[in-house]
Amino acid sequence: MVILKQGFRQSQTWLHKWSGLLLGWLLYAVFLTGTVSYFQDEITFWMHPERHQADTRKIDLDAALASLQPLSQGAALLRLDLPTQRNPLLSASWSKEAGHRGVRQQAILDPASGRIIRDRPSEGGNFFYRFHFQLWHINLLMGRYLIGVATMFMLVAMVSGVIVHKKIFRDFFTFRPGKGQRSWLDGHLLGAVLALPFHLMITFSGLVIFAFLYMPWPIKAEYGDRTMRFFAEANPMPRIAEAAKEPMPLPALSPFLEKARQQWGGGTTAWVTLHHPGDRNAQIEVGMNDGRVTAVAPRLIYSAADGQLQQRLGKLKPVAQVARTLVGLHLGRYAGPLLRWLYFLSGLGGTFMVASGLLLWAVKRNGNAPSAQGWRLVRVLNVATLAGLPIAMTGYLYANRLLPDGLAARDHWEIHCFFGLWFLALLHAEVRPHGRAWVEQLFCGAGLLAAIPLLDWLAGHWHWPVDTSYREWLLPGFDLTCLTLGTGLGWLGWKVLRHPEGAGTDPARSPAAGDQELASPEATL
Amino acid sequence: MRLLAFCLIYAGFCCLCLSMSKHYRQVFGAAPSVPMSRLLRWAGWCLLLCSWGGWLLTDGGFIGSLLFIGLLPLAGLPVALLLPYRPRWPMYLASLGVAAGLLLLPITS
Repeated sequence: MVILKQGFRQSQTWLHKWSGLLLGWLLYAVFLTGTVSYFQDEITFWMHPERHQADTRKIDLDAALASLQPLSQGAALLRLDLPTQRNPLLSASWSKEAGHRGVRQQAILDPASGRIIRDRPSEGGNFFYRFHFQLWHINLLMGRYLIGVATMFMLVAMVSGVIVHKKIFRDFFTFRPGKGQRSWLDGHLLGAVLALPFHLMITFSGLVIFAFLYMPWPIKAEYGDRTMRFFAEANPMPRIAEAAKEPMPLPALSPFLEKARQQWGGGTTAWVTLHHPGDRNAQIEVGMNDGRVTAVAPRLIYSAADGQLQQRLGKLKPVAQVARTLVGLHLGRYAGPLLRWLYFLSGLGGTFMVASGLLLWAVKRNGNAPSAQGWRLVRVLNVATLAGLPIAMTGYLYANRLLPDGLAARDHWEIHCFFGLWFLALLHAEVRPHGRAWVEQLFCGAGLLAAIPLLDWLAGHWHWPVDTSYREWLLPGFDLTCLTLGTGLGWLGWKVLRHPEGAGTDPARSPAAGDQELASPEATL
Repeated sequence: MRLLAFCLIYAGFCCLCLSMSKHYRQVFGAAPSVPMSRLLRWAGWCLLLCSWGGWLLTDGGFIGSLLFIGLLPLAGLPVALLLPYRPRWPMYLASLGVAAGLLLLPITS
């Protein structure tokens, strides 16, 4: 029995170690970019200074439609996304094609005046968000598969981790500082066990989002080649009438919004879509936001001609409801400020867990790695990923402010800066001594992050909040968060600097006798 | 109410922590008696349960539970991090927090 138990735990150790290492770097990037994506709207707002002056106290949809008129002439679909607390602007998109699948053009408008804001092109927070689930510069599907594999291994690493570190619950409150590797392991376990419900939820729900990509066979078996029907049934879309090709002026929109609110019984309006605007068969679709988790907005579709309610969508079938609840939990779109911050902090905790795991892998194998070259590669990649990614991400923000205004494809250049900096971090980690590389990159990231408020202040974008509303705190909150994160990174750098061996990863130092739990679990049995 | 509910998680974790003889020794220098340890463990779980109840009252079943789960690490981490540096602080802070939460209850809720 004892042998069997040993064998099982040993195999789990192997699994935890290697699944953690091979996909750890990718998982770290996924965790970090995903974590900041909880503030995607806020990042996007920050990255468009032209939007900061917009008057967001009231909404005039008719003025917005008037100023869109010359642009969206002949559009078969025109959608207006109403301002929210987090994104206080009116976004318009339109398409020549009817239905919901056409290619769209977009504009951002000042909600009060309906004025179109001509802002610099930028992906904003969307870049981090997309990178989080499909990477960048590689095939979209490929990226999603890669991250799916990583996520599955994350789940494996988590389950095997609980088995490997079997004392995880007995050591629930154990933290022993100043003991090098031991402290890192304590931190790794503390981060893992305290937020275990969050980690399990976020990883599993992450898999559910693209489950149809990873396991397409059930849909194939049931629907054959008509897979789109599956999605239409899971998330019903409104039926759009054909255009009558007879003109009819569009009625005022505000009464429809009020009517939708009443007929749905509360909630706020998230968007209005006009199908065939200016036609006799025009339809007005109102999307509601009632704070539900599923992130599937209820829709009410009215006939523009007589104002009658034609369709009412929003009730999901039970299985779709379960799936969408998991997806909604992952996306956190429903979350108010407090819960959003908890998501963000838990995400940072997960990032720390992955990072400390990667560090431990390298530290454990001081001098007795299976291959010296492989071990060196791990350490270089550790620096370049763990310390390099924050530099690249912050550099992306700097590029947004510092690149010349007239630059062609400015939005692409912002992303080039991100990848360029990341590559430089890799080169730097390769040529510098290991301990120095850590310190220099951590301090570089810390300095860049902490100087974001300074950058804003110098550029004249800083303003003091006049009240405690979310809108007023969007920009100062962003700056203060950067300052705090920068300080945290600086503290880490300082810790490494003070440590004579640089992150405790000097090859000459052999692991202390009591520190071999990961390397040889049988020692603790 | 939310302040109190948060402090209750913290206090609950403190009790659970002290119910482990390793940490009890860290704080008081001696191992706890068996009934003491059992009492602390029960008190800890009860406090956590009370806190969960508090979140259910303030934010409803779904969001309340999520907030409760999300706040667990935020309350547990300071207990673990303070322990090696200032072993008695978590205990004092927990008492102070619950007292403040109770006193401020008329204002905050």
